[in-house]
Amino acid sequence: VTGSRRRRALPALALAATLALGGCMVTPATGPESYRGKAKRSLDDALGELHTARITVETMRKDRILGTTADEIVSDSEAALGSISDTFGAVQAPPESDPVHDSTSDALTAAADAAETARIAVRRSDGAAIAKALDDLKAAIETLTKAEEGVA
Amino acid sequence: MRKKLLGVTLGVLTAIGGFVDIGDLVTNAAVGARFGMSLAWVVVLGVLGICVFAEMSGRVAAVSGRATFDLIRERLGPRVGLASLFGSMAVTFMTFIAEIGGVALALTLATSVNAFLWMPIVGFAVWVVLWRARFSQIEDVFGLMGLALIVFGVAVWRLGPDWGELWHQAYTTRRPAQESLATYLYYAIALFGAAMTPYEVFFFSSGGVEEKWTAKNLGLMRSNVFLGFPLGGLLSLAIAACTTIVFLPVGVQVDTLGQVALPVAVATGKIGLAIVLVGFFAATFGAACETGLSVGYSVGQYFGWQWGKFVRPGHAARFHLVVLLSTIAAVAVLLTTVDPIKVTEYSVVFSAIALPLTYFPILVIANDPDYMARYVNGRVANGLGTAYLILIVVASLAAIPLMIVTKAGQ
Repeated sequence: VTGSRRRRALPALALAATLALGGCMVTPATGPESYRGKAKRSLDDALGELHTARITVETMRKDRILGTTADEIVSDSEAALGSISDTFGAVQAPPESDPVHDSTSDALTAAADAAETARIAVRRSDGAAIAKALDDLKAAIETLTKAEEGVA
Repeated sequence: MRKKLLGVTLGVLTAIGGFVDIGDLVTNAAVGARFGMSLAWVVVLGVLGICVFAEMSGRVAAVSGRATFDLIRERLGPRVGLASLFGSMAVTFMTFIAEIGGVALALTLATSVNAFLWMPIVGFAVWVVLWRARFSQIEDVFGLMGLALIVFGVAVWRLGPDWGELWHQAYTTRRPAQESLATYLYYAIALFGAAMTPYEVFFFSSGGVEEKWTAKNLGLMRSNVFLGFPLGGLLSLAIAACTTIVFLPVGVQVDTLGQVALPVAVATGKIGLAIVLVGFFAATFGAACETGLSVGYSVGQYFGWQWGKFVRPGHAARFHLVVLLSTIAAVAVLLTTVDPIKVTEYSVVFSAIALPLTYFPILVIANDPDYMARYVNGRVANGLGTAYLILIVVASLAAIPLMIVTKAGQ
């Protein structure tokens, strides 16, 4: 009976292990190179989210997207940026990686702020605020790009 | 003659509109944004594969008057039948969850009302439709509404891409420099799984029994499969092309349904966006009905219960009970706040893993003269079926190792 239970439990354990190994965990940095890789990955992901928000806000400025849809897309980007920042923040930086930590954290904070401004502007459908939000997003994209070059 | 032509046209149109579901929407968009058109060959391969096996299972239903699981248990015994039932049903149920979540996300994009508020309402609406609506109504209404997704094709044209570059990416199949071979192969398997989802074949063959197909309907069935599915596959390619043009150059990864719609808004404005949202709703709601019915079909057919919508609900009580319970369970899973897009991403990969359990029995039955008489597989069907079975087994074995190595495609 025990053997049979074990056999039945195996597929469930395999599935759980697969999902865990498949990307549901924050893995620790094993050294400065590993930390640098995680920083680059976070900046890459954040850039993608900022570009999504930028394209949405640009489309809204041209009055080519429904307000509800624009709101959802920008809100999703904002939430994703928060998650990226939290995930990166949870990784313990090796002592020699403080400059990488600082530049990446600053850039991610700037990205989250720009996305927040964009969400507020989009939800209010305020033309002037949307124009400003677009400028902020472009500036944050530039900051992230520079941080990424620095990390690489 | 005119009536027959109308029937063929309606069948083909509903096959096109019904081809795309949440798995196709999300996977094609994600692949286009990361790999450009370099994985277009997988869509072509997957569409040909689903055509081969859908034709086989449709032929089995038309000739024998019985659906797939009904025959799998009888022909291959209860153990193989149970393995097939378990594997296929697990994936179909996962897809059912993803489709209900997809409908909720589509409604959220149109209304800004939180998706978790929509989920119970959508679950209830799906159950009401499955309980009250006729089979042909479900198939025709959502299939025709799903044609709204043709707006992706219009969007590609309006975006004015470098056609030569798109074609170059597609025929060279070269992956972008920043992507590893393992990630490329992982997404190839996900795309393959999305195109060859097991429920499509079960729904197709069970639908044949619901609509009382006979050998006389083989022509109509084949026109639906060989015209409708490839044209539906073109929609998948158009979705990938849209994200290739808009997102690939700036490194955006597609993780939300809103991002799938964004290139259409960029290209066609509010009207195009409204049309694509209708298409999202139809594609996901129609697929939710299909997967919900497929769960009931497979359980009912395996246990030999009365099943289907061709009899009054009271006469197929256990079938309707399974449909109701699976709908409640799907909504309950979604209300744990699991991300429907993540469920979709996993469901297409697990779909690839379960493919041999679905398609091997169909190949066996389509070769059995006791069931098929003179309609057994010919050389071409057997050659293609066997080649695909080998491919399916390879994809199935490679899926989990690739999922671990690539951290689910990260």
